[in-house]
Amino acid sequence: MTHISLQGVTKYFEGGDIVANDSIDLEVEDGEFLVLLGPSGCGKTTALRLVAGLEHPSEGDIHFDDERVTDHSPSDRNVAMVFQNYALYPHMTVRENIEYPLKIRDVPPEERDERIEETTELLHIEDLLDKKPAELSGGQRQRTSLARAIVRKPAVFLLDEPLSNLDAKLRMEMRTELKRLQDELDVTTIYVTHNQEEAMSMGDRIAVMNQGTVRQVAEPEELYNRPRTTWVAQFIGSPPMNLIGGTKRNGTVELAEGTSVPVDASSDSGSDTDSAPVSLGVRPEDFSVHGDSTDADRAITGTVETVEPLGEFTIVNVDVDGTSVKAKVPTTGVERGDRVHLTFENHDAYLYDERGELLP
Amino acid sequence: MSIQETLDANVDADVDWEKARAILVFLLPGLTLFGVFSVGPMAYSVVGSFFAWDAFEMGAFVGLQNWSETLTDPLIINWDNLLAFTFPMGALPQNLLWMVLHVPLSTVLGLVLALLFADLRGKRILRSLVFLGFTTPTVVIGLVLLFVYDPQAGVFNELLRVVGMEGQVRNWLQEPQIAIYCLVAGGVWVQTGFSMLLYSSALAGIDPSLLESARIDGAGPFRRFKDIIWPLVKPVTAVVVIMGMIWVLRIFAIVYAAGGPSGGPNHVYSVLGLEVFRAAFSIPVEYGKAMVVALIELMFALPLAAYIARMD
Amino acid sequence: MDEQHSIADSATKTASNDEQGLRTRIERALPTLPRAGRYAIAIALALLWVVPLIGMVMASVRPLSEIIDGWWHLRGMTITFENYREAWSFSSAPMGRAMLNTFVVTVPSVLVVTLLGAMAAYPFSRFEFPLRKTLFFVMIMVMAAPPELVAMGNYNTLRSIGLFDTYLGLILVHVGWGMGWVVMFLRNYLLGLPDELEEAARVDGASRYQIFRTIVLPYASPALVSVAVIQFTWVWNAFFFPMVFMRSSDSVLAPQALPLLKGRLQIDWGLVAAGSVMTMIVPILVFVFLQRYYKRGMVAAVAD
Repeated sequence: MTHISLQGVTKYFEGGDIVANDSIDLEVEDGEFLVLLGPSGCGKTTALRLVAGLEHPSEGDIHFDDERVTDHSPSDRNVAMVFQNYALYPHMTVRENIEYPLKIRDVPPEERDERIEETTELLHIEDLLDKKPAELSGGQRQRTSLARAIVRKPAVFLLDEPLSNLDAKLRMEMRTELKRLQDELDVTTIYVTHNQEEAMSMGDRIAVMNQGTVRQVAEPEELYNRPRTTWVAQFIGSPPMNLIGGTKRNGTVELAEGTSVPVDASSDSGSDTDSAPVSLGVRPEDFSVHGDSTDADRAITGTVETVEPLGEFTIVNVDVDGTSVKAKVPTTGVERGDRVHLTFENHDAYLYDERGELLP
Repeated sequence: MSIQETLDANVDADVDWEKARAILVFLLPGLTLFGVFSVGPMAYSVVGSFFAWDAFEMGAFVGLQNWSETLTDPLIINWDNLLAFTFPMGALPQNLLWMVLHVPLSTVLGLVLALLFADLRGKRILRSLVFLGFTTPTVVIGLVLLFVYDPQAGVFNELLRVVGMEGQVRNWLQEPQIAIYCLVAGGVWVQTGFSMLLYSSALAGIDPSLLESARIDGAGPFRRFKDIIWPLVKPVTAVVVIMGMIWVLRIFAIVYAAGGPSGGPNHVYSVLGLEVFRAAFSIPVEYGKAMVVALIELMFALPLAAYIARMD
Repeated sequence: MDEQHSIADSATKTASNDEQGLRTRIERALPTLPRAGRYAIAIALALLWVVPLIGMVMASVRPLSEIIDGWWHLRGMTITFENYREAWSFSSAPMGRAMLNTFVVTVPSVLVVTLLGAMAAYPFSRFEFPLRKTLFFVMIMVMAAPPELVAMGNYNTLRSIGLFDTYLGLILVHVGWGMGWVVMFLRNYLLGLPDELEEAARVDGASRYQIFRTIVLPYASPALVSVAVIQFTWVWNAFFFPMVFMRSSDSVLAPQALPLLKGRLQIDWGLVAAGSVMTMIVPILVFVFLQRYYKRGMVAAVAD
């Protein structure tokens, strides 16, 4: 269907005072479900609006397949968009809302009826056709707005935080449904969210954005397993990855107070005698907590500050030389004030250099 | 072409031409009529006030001559009478006197009626009755006043007769020193409906629980008004006052209907609008004077406009 | 204010289904003295306010001799529509013709200013464009300015383009003069139109003009009705502009014709009253039937 490509796309606002997007390069494959993930204000919505044509890039180009669409208005791009607040036309019924894009595009009435029927069946809103948006629940509005987007058979499907106004239960439901729809329709989709769970569960690939730039584009698993920067590492996962400052020397990382941890990963790098400041990253779920001394190679020692049992698992906050380190474990017998050892496997450790880049 | 240049100069480098064209299409018809029939004539009056006029034809530049002649015209300001406070004082002082009386009275009365009606059943009908005068054409108001103050058929004089003030019965609008107050009363009668409407809608916006909690705190009716109702309806007062002032500045039909184009016997209740009309459209035609008088009106309106613009 | 009962009022609002609510409701249904007094004062005042208008109505249906005796004397009242008949075809100012003229001027003036005003208000509420701020202030200035200020210029303009003393000429003047407040009013209303609706429509493929027609106008329809109702009463009631721009006896408008009904020596109150009632009944009916829009518009127009 459609391959989307952004090349060096930059967007300034207010005469350059605000840089919303800074030189973004991004390829979205045909039929792919790409998630733009990032904190609020990171420019992900601007990026989506640039693709929609609601904003015009200050620099750079956007291509749909081989066609340059940078200067095309939204109506010439054959994209459909679902807005955070659904943006249903309040004076039209559900049917009129769904019909609107078809009517605007002069689709003949018989075909309109057919497609409306098809779409509303797909989304299970056949019974709501004569209601006004004000009479609908949040979930029903969401479905109507999806129907309005789908009914057109667009080349590209753009979703801007579509689930953020729904309650938790409905959000889970719609997440599954959206994924199913996208699989069925096989339309290239860009999905904006700040919710990493949504991103991880739905995206074929995830583009993590911060401060107007794309930090990493990867499949969910890779993003979790090989976060390329400390920023991404801390953004993905809950609670976020622990980062402990130290110095790398001769294949080990020396943390404060003489703790040192061997790391294999760096054996091939330049000269072993050089020392360099690094951050050691370990995800909370990769730690094991031991009350007794342990003979494991990789152990960090600290004092338990708090224990937060959350049912499914327990979070243990450990003070390691003034740094608070979190461990996420199924159960634990430790208590506040206990000396504990946190152990982890070699492949669960990440090393980041001073600039926050992952060391090979 | 020049519009495009201005657009070019002002908008970011990436001008969206499709949008710019749409903006023009939307604006142009309305703004053209607005320009030709509102802004243009206003500018014409400003410029024209500095020129000599031969009937409707603009002549030579005469500087401030129209202005000085107009401001010394006893029809506009009659200094001797003004200092002695006897009518006619000229249209400008009379218009201002009208404003000074009319605005506070109609504002306070409007608030009083709004409070009085606020929690009564049938308040909508009561309000509509009071508001009826404001929807009535002002020329009818003028005729109604003429009728009310008529010595024989007027209900006002009948009232005097009933209360035993037979000796006071007269044609009130022919009494030089009193007539204007009788008309002001009529203006207040009409405008009160308007201020009551605005105050009523402000009162309706007050959360009843505020009043309840004030009462629980031991506030009496006066304190409740002062501490809760008044602060909440105060912003409306600014609007009521401004609208009242604009209304008085524009007053024309009431006076014309009650006293003809001269504004009562010997112009005793003439107002600025009437002077403009007579100067411009009766023989002898004095366009320059008409423009100056209209601009004097504008000068009183401009601070009001500035205030409205700041509120926005 | 009578404190006991104003509180009883709010209490019923908040606690209407419990016992106390019931009690206060019963209390309220049986007015105690202070409350009854307030009703009496309120009703008396409201009636006082319409006495002058009632007088006009009474005079319009009675012969002149009875009017001069006092319209408030109800004994031996003769009801006649002779005044109306006479005013309708009064020689120097036939009200029938004048009413027709007023309709012919008012209806297009209202429709045109509402449509063009809505069109102009849309960019004002949405887009940045050069001179926006200046135009904005000019509109507010015109809202506050006296109509006399534009009379001279418009008189010369209409004369030179041959529209003096014509319906079209007066309509144009009304439209140009009303544009300021209509644009300001509708702009304020349209500020409430969510950006996403427009963007959704653009993505759905609508052009700017289609968006205006299918999204903006329907969204603004309550405000459009308010504008039309208020503008209708203003144009209908207008006295100064017709006085200046309509001169021949065929083109006189109703408000303009009323002073002519007075006659020379003795005022014929019956005629004046009949003409006045005919003229005022139209805006009053508009007000009564479209009160909701009228009031909402009045409040919004000035309270923003």
